Amino acid sequence: MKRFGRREFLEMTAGAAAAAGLPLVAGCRKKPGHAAQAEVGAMDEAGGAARVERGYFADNFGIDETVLRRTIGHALSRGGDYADVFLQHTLSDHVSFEDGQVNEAYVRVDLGAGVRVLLGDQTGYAFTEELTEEGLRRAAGTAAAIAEGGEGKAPDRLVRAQLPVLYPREPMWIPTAPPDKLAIVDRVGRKLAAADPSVVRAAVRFRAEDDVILVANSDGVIAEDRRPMTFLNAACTAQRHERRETNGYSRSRRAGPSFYTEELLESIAAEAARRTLLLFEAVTPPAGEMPVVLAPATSGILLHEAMGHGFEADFNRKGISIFASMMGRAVAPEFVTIVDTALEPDARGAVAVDDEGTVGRRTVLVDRGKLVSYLHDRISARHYGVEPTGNGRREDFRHAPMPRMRVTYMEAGPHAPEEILASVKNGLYAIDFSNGQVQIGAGDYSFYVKTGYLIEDGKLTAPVKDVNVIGNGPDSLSKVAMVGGDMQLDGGTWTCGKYGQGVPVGLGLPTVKISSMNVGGAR
Amino acid sequence: MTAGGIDLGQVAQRTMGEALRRGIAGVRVSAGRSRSVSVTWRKGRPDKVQESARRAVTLHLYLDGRYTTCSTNDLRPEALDRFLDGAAAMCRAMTPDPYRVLPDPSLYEGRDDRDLEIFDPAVAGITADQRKRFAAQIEAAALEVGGERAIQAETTWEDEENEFVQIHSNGFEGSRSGTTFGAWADVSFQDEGDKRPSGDWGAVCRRRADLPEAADVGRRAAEAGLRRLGARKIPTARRTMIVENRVVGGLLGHLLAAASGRALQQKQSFLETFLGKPFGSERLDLLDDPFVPAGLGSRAFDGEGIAAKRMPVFERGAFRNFYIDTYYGKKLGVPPTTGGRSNLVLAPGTRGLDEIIRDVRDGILVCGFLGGNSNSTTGDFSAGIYGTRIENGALGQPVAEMNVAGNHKDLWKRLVEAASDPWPYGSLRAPSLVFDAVQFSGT
Repeated sequence: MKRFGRREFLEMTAGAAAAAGLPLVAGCRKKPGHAAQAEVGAMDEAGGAARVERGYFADNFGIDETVLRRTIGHALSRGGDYADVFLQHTLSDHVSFEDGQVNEAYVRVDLGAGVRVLLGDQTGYAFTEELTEEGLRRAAGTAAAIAEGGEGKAPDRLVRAQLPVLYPREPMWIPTAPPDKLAIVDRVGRKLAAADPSVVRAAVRFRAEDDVILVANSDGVIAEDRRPMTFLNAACTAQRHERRETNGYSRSRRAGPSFYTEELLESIAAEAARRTLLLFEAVTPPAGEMPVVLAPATSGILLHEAMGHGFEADFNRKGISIFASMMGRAVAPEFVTIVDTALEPDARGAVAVDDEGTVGRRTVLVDRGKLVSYLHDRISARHYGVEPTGNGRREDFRHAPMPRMRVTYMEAGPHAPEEILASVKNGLYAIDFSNGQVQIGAGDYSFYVKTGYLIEDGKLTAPVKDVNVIGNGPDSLSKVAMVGGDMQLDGGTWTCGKYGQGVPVGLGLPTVKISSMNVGGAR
Repeated sequence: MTAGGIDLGQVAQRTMGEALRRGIAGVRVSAGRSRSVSVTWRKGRPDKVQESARRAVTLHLYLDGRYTTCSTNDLRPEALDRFLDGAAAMCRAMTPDPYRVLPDPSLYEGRDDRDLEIFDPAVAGITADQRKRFAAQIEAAALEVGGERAIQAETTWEDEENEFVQIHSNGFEGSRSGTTFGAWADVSFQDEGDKRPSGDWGAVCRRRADLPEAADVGRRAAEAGLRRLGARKIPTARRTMIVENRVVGGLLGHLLAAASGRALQQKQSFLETFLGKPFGSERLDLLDDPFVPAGLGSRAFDGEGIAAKRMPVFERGAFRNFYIDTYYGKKLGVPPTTGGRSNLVLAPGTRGLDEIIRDVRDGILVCGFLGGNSNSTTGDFSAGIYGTRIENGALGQPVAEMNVAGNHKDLWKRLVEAASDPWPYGSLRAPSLVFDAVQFSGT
């Protein structure tokens, strides 16, 4: 039993930290993405219309719409005013490379269903790991106990939601033979081990997952989604004389084996080695306040920590986020627009439908400096009298959904990146990060810089490493001094944690200058 | 062992038999289940009530150096067959690695099967009303102590029972049942401007009777929050750092990341050259103790079936043992100790925290960490902190939005005192720790 408090965190799934390894295989380029997507689109259309498409859970477990409606009815039997059922079947493989060999794998099957009942903002939740009508009925009966009297009604029919096609919606990894997955991992491991004579250890972790979910709710919505996911992390230790350094690089995507092109595998190995070797030149930065310039892409961690969590509407409806009274107010300069979207194709944070049946969409949070929307689930949307934004996500069927980020980024701004750098006399240029955390109410947040440079007289000088940077969300937003025109989304393996639930997310940023932050150097 | 509708021993035996039948040479299997209920309370009523029942079977497959782990919760016979077919196929595809072998059976011997007091039968008698009442009482106390600046208190009760059976094809058999009872509160306050800092406090125990009173949980969380009002940065400087007992894990976890056999073998451990040698100050005395009565990490055997033993990690500042499992032991050519921590007991000192604070001229009492990380290869660390400034022997200005940084090889030499207040509600039993002249960054 471990409880996570309100201090939300984000971390890069890295070699040493991951529970088990994870690599895949190259070589088996099944189909290019476009073909796969076109095919899935066609399948959806047929499913929505006449074709006899009962769905994955009906075909494999006999959980059809009749069973789902009965379950919802039972969940509402004590008077809840909303209920949903969430079915999930996940097959995942992890494969690791260490000391020159692909010598460890982990195969996991996870199956179950969660039933949630809402009474106003109160939640009853239970789940079953037996996908039978009896299992569902028991979970529904337990979840129903949040309400005490009255009688709710099951929907007369369930209507299939039309989902955007964002990623391949057919099994991507189940049909891929183990040797093909191993080949992906082996390829990167060997490249990395041979990348430089100073590399003394190379490790690769790879994960591939086929996840099928179904959500049906008392509003009469039913949606089934297949969500492939993969990531590959390469890490190495290099030694020069007595000194050792470790670093790594990882990429993640909602995709199948075709993601792992020869070029990508080479670039992952090369980048992991480059980032490690760079650390031999790195110095410890000074401690204290200074301007910080954030490099494009990975620096999106700033938005995730400094604002994103504070914009999650559960904290705001309870009045415990620092942003709780800021709706409609100017929170940043006019050239700042911040977006959270479900619709970025193949992105790690993409979701065609959220985990309570709201179809994926794009949500503008800060529009030209003004706070215009929180991130909503159903409870908060009802509280504020707005449409849900499709941010109701959960780690798996064992958890109730809550507002979570998807792909969060800042749109390009008016400044040239060179101009931004040139404007700083002494400061920190932050490139790569391993993790971050925030206190929702106090607004303080931090992120840990793995790679960066000192800025001296407008130029990048010595590399720096291993330094924590800390700030306060609204304060940092108001100190966004310049925004570059070079927005990039990051393709890294970010997992966001909140109340003990981890979900995959994406982030992005153009070059951004914050006029002052607290840099945790050791001198 | 039969509970929750499944016989765990039978599941374990059957899946092991099925794996062996598929030509797998060695198998470790564990079958487990757990059941928990949690009640979160807010605004005088239940905010969320959740009931969880989990089960899973996990196998480690060994075939001539080929190795795969697999786990499933889909126990339908035909699904289990498919699952084992898939896992066996994955295992056969792996590269043979001579170090992947079952644990040596001699390590299973000499198991100390004393009663660890980690199962409390009281768990069966907890009612829905009792859970709600406890959470409600925490809330009431939190709001009373919090006063008019308190926005809300969110409180939680959780109880859990769990059990598992573990068997290995080379002769190990073991099982364990445990219970946990937990209670927490998180209290939010209106501060200057838009700031709404919160304080939290909570406890988790093996025995219901060891849990603090509901009113204590609420009061302490509210007090923690009140101590954060008006927090600000103070100037960058080297100062005395006192880390409060319940957050010592934030620091110690980073130190111990370098004490794993994998970190050592993968050349990612700054502790590599310190085995048997002085590392920290003489105050650093850390014991891995699997036999703490009612300890959250107490056990008679570890995940590999190795009979549990007390193991010094640091003794009077000297580094004594890495956490080494069978695989990394073989790779390193040393006998395994254990691959995973049980309970960690950091030796307390003789003086109370209040008394220690009275002797500090300029310092910070660290009540929590915010983010931050540590490099297990080099020992460099940097982390956000919040807490209270200590000036001339008295607690004063709340501080936040600050960092602490350094290198573990230096930091633990600066450990000058341990208080007499070991934290009793976790597998890490650490007292508050006092470090001399640590680098803080602020304004």
